[in-house]
Amino acid sequence: MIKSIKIDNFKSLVGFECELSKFSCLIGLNGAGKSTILQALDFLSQLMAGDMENWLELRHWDKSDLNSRLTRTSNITFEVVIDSLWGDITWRGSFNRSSLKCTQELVKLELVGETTESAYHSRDLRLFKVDDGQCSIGHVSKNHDFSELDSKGFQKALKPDSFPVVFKYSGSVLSGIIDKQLSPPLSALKKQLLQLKSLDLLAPDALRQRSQSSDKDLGLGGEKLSAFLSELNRQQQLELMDKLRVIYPSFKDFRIFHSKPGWKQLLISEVFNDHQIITEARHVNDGMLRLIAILAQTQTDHSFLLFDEIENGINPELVEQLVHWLQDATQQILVTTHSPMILNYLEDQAATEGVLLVYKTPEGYTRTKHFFEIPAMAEKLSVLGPGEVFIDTDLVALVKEINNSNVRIQ
Amino acid sequence: MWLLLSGEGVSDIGACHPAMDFCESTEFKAAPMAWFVDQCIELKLNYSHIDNHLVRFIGKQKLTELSKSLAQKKKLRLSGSKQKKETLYYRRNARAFAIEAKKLEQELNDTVVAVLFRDADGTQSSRRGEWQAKWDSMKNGFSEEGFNRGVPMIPNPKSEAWLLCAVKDNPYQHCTSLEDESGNDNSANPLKEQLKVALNGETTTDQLTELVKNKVIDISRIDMPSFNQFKDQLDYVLTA
Repeated sequence: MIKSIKIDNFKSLVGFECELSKFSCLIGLNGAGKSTILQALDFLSQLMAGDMENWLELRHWDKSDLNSRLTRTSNITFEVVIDSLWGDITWRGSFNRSSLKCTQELVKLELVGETTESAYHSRDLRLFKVDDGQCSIGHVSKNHDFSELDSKGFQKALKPDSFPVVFKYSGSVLSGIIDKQLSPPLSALKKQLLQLKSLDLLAPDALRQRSQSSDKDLGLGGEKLSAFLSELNRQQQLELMDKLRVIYPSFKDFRIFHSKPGWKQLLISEVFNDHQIITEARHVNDGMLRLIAILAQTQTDHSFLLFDEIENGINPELVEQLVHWLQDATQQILVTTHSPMILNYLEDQAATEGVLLVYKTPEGYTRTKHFFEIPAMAEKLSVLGPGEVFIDTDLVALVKEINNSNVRIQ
Repeated sequence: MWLLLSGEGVSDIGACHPAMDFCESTEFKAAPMAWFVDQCIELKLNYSHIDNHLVRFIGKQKLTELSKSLAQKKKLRLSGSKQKKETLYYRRNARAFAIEAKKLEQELNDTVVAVLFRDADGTQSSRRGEWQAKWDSMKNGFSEEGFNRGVPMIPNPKSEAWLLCAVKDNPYQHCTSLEDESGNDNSANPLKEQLKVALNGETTTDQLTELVKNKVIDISRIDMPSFNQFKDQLDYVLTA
């Protein structure tokens, strides 16, 4: 799970930091930076995947769109903390947006220490470092079972290796190093980032397209839905169809029709009074297509799913079930929403831990705050549902209040 | 006639001793705002409910639980022209309080006047929401449960403003401006500090209670909109 991120100089994220839960929900006024946070997470994921040029192209962005206009800093710096079998892994780096490369990187592992009567011992172990064109990495001797090592054993098992970065890479240097060369914690970090999937541009038009590609994943906007569904294994498809039948009683199944060589088309079959109707994806309602895309993602091996404005096109009647599925999903989930219904179906504790108010400081920097930990909101939550508190709160005034109190603290 | 009270804590309306969810007069330790209610009623009916043990009390924690149980996940009341923002908390508390007041009327087979105390602006600094909307919302909460002997007691921004008005050198002047001050104790020149200065530091709950009981803090000197509206509504339910 990604526990927290820090990022500086990415769009409106200047000196930004944010803690994430298993299910996090971003709320806030338009323009506060909710979608930017999703984009930042996708950016961090892409650093591990490499090929930053292609990523910019897919988003229709230029290099100059990446950095903040609020500062004069050139590089984008970041920190990601994930939890792992061995302890928290922290990845820090500095990304040069001209070369689209991380010029500095550091990965360290905070080993889960042994607890003695007097103290809890934990120690940081450096796993990877890039600085000044030089890379140092801890290689692993094959004989070690990492899950059973204590801190001393762990250190011994890692054989430090240092070499100049003479190969081509984009994003993180780790994107250019094959998995075999990575120690298990480094490999876990890379996998965690690579398995992040952001659907922040999910759009009905894109979902409706027939697809030619056999890519295993959806496009940013939901393109290639039919190809993606056809790539799910039968069990995943059946589970997805079961879920769709719960919320759409008339839904029977979906199938992928190979219209001509290489082309895949999604057909939805529904039954009304024993009468079966088969509809092409391009004629299916927006809400159903979005739900298929969202729920299908929860059937994949992605570890972290991001959805922007999760409620779009989805009937309030279906929101309860959707929220339960998302909360029960094996993946870590981050959604943005303007819907009090989404919030109202969260239990108070989940809302307190996971709902983050995204707001801007007077300088224009995006910040987050646990919404229900704000004393006045906690007071309201004691008698109201989470969605009721949201709907009842004057967010403009609340943000002003937070900014005023921050000024006082400073 | 009986009086049912509930408030924020020991320093405004009062609390049960020993601490419990509900209590009767003998276990209820009245604080300044309870005495305000009692004295306002005494002016009208010529007897004290506190002295005559005609008071029942519900603790805030219990009322909060009862209010929370009224929240329905599927039923969301949208804010709009009929329901302003920053009011639902007051309405929901009032509904739960009205339900308890009606139960008490049945139990006692007598009428109950229910006074619910809440700060208008306890923890804020930017005055979210209008005071009048909060007051109306509490009143609507009583009506929603079909209870018409409910009285909102919402000092603006908090009870110190009323107490301060009662002890000001020129009581009838400038009290209204106290309603524009912040209820936040961390603000510049907070009401709590102003009261401390006005009363030479005698502002513990026990000291304030004594000052109200002895009418050193005199309710007849308070002339400010949030107090007048409370008093008018209390007078109305007493005569209705």
